[in-house]
Amino acid sequence: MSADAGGESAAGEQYPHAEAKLDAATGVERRVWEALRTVEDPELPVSIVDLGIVYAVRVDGDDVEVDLTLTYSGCPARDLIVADAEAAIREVDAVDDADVRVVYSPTWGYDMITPTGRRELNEWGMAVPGDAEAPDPECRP
Amino acid sequence: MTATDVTDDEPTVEEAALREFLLGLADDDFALGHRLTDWVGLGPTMEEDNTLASIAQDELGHARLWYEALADRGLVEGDLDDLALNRRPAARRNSTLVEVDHDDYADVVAISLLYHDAERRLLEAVADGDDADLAGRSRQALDEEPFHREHADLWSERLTATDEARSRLEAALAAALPRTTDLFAFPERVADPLVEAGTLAVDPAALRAEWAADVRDRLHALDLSVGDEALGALDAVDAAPERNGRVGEHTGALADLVDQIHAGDDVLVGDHPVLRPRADGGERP
Repeated sequence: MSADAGGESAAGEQYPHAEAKLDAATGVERRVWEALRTVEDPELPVSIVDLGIVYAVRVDGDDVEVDLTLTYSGCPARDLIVADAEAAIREVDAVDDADVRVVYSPTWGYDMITPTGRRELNEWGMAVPGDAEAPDPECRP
Repeated sequence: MTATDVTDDEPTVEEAALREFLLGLADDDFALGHRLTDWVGLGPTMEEDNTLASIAQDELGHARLWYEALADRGLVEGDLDDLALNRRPAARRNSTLVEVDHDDYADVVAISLLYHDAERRLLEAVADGDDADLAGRSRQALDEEPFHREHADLWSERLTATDEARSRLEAALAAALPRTTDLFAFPERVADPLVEAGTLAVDPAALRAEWAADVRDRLHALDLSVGDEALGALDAVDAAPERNGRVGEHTGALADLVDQIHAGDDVLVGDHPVLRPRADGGERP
């Protein structure tokens, strides 16, 4: 599997990486993806798009619906992430209403993080598997 | 009107069954998560303190996952705060295993050893079922559960290292085992429609024997003696529980837990989850 193209979720479903979805999007949908990319996880300065937790953007007229997941279900930042995402989407011209839904399928995994997200997380000292530059999780010198 | 009264018309048999079953999953996780938070700052070691806080957060997160599914489907009235915090004990469907206070650290280990394996089997029944949304939620929870079981295994082994620890673990298991008889005891009016609809891949009652055999193996492997009376709870796989949390029959411990949540109602101010204004403008029960 190519790290850029996407991967397979824990549930065995194939999915494209968020970066690929962003690149493929046009018009308002593209601007919504770009707006979401400015939203950071409240616990780490990494975009929610690069963390791979944004699953889908649907535009219907001036209404936007977004599916996103959480890196784990007890995530205490849930309401903040949803509120930040909705606020960012409403900043996009041509958007009237934004509805962000939290979904749990497919299950999020490390392989949903984009290459940009991997690099940034590793810069913050998180040992994200699958990156040659990642710090050794065993902490060997 | 309480938080669990149904919002619209009379629910169908299947809706009523789903509501009871999902409340069982949610209330289990809420009660255990809530009890585990009591250990924050009191864990036997710094690492363990962190671990218990993390497991508590997972369990409360899983409770949210199920309360949210109930609310999304309009099967219950009220928001997440109401469902978790503002329901009377009789409206709750958790197993009596998880509602008791933990007097000793061995209680955490004993309850964890018995509960997490039962929870896994119930979640797998949903994950293998036909309801895609619920199956996805189950898989999410299952992904996060393995370390809870590893934690229980590790500590149950560790607590057999000295006579003192062993006797306390055995006492905790002897106290907890009789309260496991309701873990899979969803009544027929709950289990049958959900199996029929394919939401559950297997009848919860059918999971009990396998779970009991696994528990027995674990006790045997660690040479733990819990006494015949407690072991009887593992034998009586078909017997109806004396007190069944799945139909709202609870010990006084759950009333204490709910009372504790509301102990400060008269003095609480501001944005407290017990009294925070509801997003939909509705009244708190």
